[in-house]
Formats: sequence, C-alpha cells, structure tokens
Amino acid sequence: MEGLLFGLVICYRLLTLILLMPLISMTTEVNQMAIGLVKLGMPYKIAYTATTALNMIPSLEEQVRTIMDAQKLRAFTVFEEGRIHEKLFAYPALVVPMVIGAMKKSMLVGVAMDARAFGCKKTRTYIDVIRFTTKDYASLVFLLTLIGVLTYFNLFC
Amino acid sequence: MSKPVIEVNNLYYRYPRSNDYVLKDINFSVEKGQFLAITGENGAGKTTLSLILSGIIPQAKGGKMHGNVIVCGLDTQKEDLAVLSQKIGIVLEDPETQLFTTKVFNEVAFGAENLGLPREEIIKRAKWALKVVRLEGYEERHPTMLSGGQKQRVAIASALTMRPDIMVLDEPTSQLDPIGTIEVFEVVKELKQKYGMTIIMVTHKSEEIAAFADNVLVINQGELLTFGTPKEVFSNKEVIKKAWITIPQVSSLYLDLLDKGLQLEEFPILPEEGVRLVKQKIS
Amino acid sequence: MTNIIRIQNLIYTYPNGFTALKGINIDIKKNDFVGIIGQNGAGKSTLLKNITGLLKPTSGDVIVGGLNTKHTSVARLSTKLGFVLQNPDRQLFADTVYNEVSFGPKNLKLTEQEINERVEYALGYTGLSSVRDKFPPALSAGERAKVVIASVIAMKPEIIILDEPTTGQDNRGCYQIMNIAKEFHKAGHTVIMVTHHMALVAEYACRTIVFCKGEVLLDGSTEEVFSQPEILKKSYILPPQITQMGSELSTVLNRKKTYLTVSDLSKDIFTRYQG
Repeated sequence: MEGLLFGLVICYRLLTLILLMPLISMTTEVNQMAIGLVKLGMPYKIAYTATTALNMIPSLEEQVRTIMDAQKLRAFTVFEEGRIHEKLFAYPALVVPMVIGAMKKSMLVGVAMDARAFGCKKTRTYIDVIRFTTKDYASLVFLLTLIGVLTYFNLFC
Repeated sequence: MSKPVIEVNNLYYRYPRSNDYVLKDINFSVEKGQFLAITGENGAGKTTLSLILSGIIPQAKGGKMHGNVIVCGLDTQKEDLAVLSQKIGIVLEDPETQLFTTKVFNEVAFGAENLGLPREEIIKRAKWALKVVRLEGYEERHPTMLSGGQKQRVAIASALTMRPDIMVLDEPTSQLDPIGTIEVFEVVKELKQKYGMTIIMVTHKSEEIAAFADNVLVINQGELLTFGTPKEVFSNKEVIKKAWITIPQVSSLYLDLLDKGLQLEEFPILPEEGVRLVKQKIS
Repeated sequence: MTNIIRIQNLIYTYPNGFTALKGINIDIKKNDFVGIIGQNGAGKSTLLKNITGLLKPTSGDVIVGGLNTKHTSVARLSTKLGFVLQNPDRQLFADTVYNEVSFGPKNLKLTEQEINERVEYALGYTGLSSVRDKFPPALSAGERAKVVIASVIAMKPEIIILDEPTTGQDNRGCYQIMNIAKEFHKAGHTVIMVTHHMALVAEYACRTIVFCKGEVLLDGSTEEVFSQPEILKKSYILPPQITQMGSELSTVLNRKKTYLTVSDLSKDIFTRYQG
C-alpha cells in the first residue's frame, strides 16, 4: 500500500512539473531565459537548445489535437464516451506521431540554426540586454524564503 | 562571361547509415546575379542539394560526399560554416519550423548574433533586412502570429542579416496562398535586380520558373537530367515526361495546337508570347 | 436535385472572440464538385470544420444529409462525409497502412469480413495495395497523402471534403490525388475542395465559391467566377494563365467566353484559324 502511494506521489510530482512547463514559456520570454541562463554561466549552446525545446510545446499540443480530430472524423468516440481502460489504450496511439513530429521538427530547427551559423563562434553577441532590477532581487528573496520554509516543514514537521 | 560563383564538380552524396547515393555525378555552375531554378520530383534530391550548397551537408549532418562544391571560391566541405553563411543564405520550405524565437527582431538578428558582430552593427543590419522584405513595423511581433507569406519573408530577412551574396530558397512558396506567393516573389526579384544577388530556388511551379529563372536544373532520382534555359527545358518532351514536369499552360497550348496541325512560329513559355504568336496566325 | 448540405446564416466565433464566419448561406447539391478559394485566414478551414461537425455553429445551422450538426456527433456524420485534413504528416498515427485505413471501419463495429473488404476497396481505389504493410511515415509524400484519403474512402462517405490536398505535393502526386477526386465525383458522389491552386479549380470544379474575410465574395459556376478578374483581385486571386490569355485573345477570336482549360482555348483558336 505504501509503495503504491509513494508511486502515485512521484507520478503527480512529475505531472505537476510537466503541466507547469507551458506556464514558464507563457510568462517568460524564451529568448530572455536563454540569455539569463548564459549569464548564470551555462554554455550558450545548451541554454538555447533547452529553451528552443520549450518553445516547441505549443506546436506539440496542436499536433495532438489534430490527431484527435482525425480519429473523431473516423468515428472514434473513446475520448468522449469510452471507459477508463479504453482511454488507457487510446493514448499511446497519440504518442507515436507526436514523437515523430517532434523529432522531424527538431531536426529542421537544427538545420535552420546551423544555416545561421549557430555555434560557430565561442562567444556570441546578444542584442537584448538583461539586468537584475529591484523586482528581481525581491522575487529572489521571496523564493529563497519560500524554499527555506518548505524545506523546514518537510524536514522537521 | 564572369567567373561562376557556384561550381559543383562530380558531386556524389549519401546520408549517414545509408548505402544509396541520393545525388550522383552532379555537375553545374552558376554565374553571379543569375536566377537558377531547381526542379524535379519529391525525393529526387533537391533539398539535399540546397543543403550541400550551403555547407550544412556534410559539415553539420555528416554522410559521405565525393567531388567538390565551390561557393565564392570557398570549399563548402572545409570552410568554416560561419564564413560560408556570410556568402550563401538559405530559406527552408516550411515557414513554421525555421522560426524559433519569440520576436521578429530577435529572429532576424539571430544569425548576426552568432557571428559575434558588435551589437550596433547587428541592429543596423536587422533593420535593413526587415526593410528589404517590407516588414518594417513588425519588429516586436511574435513570428507564429504572422501570415505564411510574412513568415517566409522573416526567414528571408534572417538570412539577409548575414549579408550573403547568394540566396538559396527551398520551395519557399509551396505552402503559401496566392498573395503570399506574390509577396515572396517580389522580394526575391528585388534581391536579384537591386542587390545583384544570385538566386537558387527549388520549385515545382513552372509558370514562375518561366517568368523569373535564367536557367533550370532538373534532377531525377539523384541525377542531373538536364540543365538549360526554361525554354530549352520545357520544350524537351523527353525530360518533361521523365521528371513529371507540368509545363506552363501557354506551352501546353502550343503542343495542343501542334497536334491539331497548327504550328506557332516558336515555342512560348510566357503568356504574352503566346498571345502574340496566336495573333500572328489568326488575324 | 436535393441539397445534400445546407448552410443557413452560419456565424462562427472562436473562443478568443474572433469571428471567422460572418453569416454564410450555401446550399450544395448532390454530386456537385465545389472549389473553395480565398486567401489564408478567409474562413475556409473554419467552414469545413463546421460542415464536418468538429466545430458547432455559434449561430445558424449546418444540415448534412438531413442531420443538423448541432445535434449530431462527429462519429455519426463521418459515414455521410469524409474530411481529409490538411497535411498528412500531422494525422497519421497507425503502425501500418492497413491499420491506418482499417481504423475507421473498426470503429463502425463492422464484421471482420466487412472491414477487410472495405480496406481492400480503399487501398485499390487509391493504388496503395502494394504498400499495405509499410509504416506510413516511411512512405513518399504522395503516398502519405493517399493513405489519408484511403482512410476516409474506407468509411464509404457520400461526400468527400479535401482541405488543400495538393499542398507540398509534386506534379505526379498532384495528378494522382486529383484523379482520385475525379473518380469519386464520377461515381455520383459530392466533392468539396479547398485549394490555392487555381488551375486545378478551373479544371475540376463545377462550382466555385470565393471567400474573403469570413464572407462569401463570389459564388457561381467556375466559369462565372473566373470571368470576374477585378473582383477576384480583391481577394488576391488570379485566374489561371489560360483564362487570362483567353480574355486577351477574345477580340481576335470574336468570342466573349471564359476559358478554363488549355483544350477549350486551343479548340477555338483552331476553328478560327481554319474558318
């Protein structure tokens, strides 16, 4: 029983992370995030690859919707009327084309980046300049406090 | 005749993990300021060829390449991609996948940033490029919110900030509506006429080839089937049949009349030519 | 003739407040071949989604074969009309061509024998019998497009709706896809096709509807529509090359006619030449 609960907790933690991803890309401009990461010392190739991947999430969502439409158009009703175990079997069918689509897309984005000399120089210029402002310091302090409090409760209560 | 800006000699290429050559024994050259159209069936190797011209193949993609490709005197297999990208720019087919930042201005500046140019220079270039593609005022917009024609023009501007001498466009209008297609062609025409750029365009649209291209290269199953002026290519029945080329309607009209027993003075590829030749015969 | 599709005062507003269709009235007869043209964002795809029931009208009605889409499920409508969505690559999901095509018939709860018959029929119809066991993404662009069409044919619909079927296709693919549509029309069925390819509309469509900013700009026989280049220009459409040549030659040919195909014009030129 405990094992099952533990597993569920892990699942939901992961799910929370995944569900929060679009929140990041919706609130933070991806380009700024990349520059921020570079400023914190991350190599720019890695920073851009990670943030470009975030940028692809909306198009993956749309891809899933298209496949669900295509299935509906062929009298497939499981997502609306099906039982849970039927749905469990229906979801994997969505994953295959999504993964293929994502792979194709990331390859093409890779080509588009190569074509514009991405990664050719050790350092690159950034036309956007980001600076730490009072707002940033304030939110940093807030977040650190929050993490501190949560850790305290986790460990000692 | 001026010295060619692109020379392709005995080119063979196969992708990594594949034993079949997708391009076999390709030879051609392009002079400065020319408009070369590349046509042929899907899967014939047109996109591969455009990536080879820009050095992305084999430098970033690997695979086995024989022969050599010289662009503006540089060997595309050896020269640094940063240097090559300032000689030859490339615009891909799908307007969606080649835009990956969140603001038009950042998208256009991306290439110049990678070159590590001074910030002021990049901003100057990006502004100029947006002016050339007629997208001033769109700097702050999100690329995905634009129309297809606008997206393709952003992609062209992104290549322009690298200040290349040659622009390769891989089916830039295949997904666009008629207005988007016209927008893109007008920009391309200006690049050639006003800025003297050399244009390489992969396309299936023969009426546009007839109107804009100086030469056409037809690829069939990885081999060069023919290289010539649009008139030479479209009037070559064997080539047309083998590569499934749809000739301009005015050229079909010529053949249709010929079948009936009426021969126009010459083989037309432009509608105005056709109108003139028909008038000659019947008025 | 009966109207197989009736669209009455159709207004569609997206959840974000954008009104894509502003009061559309269209009746489509059985066995018509309708071309729908207009620039991107004119409302063409929104209309198709409303006809197929994927979207429900904000106001007004869409009636397909006597069924109001408001009260009918997409699944129920799918046996009346088949919708071939844009871009095959975004919608293929099965591991083999056979499984992709049999997906619809299986959902209809047919017997195994019936399913098999339908799949064979659809594969034969589209010329895909030899690739039935292949993985769809590994096929050529032309074949992938045909797999999507075959999957719809296997539902045995009376109406087929094609959304930009030739985009991204080379000339051979284009020709093959149009041949399938032509066969389907010849068999007495109805075809509705959205496309940017004017020469195809001129050659295949009996009726053409021009959309502009969510409204119907022109609606009539293809000849009528292409005889009004000034209005077409407003929605940035140019008639095919042969139509434009025909109008320039009208004075020497002594005929005021809208030419839609090369053979139409060549016939009249030759007659004039002989006479």
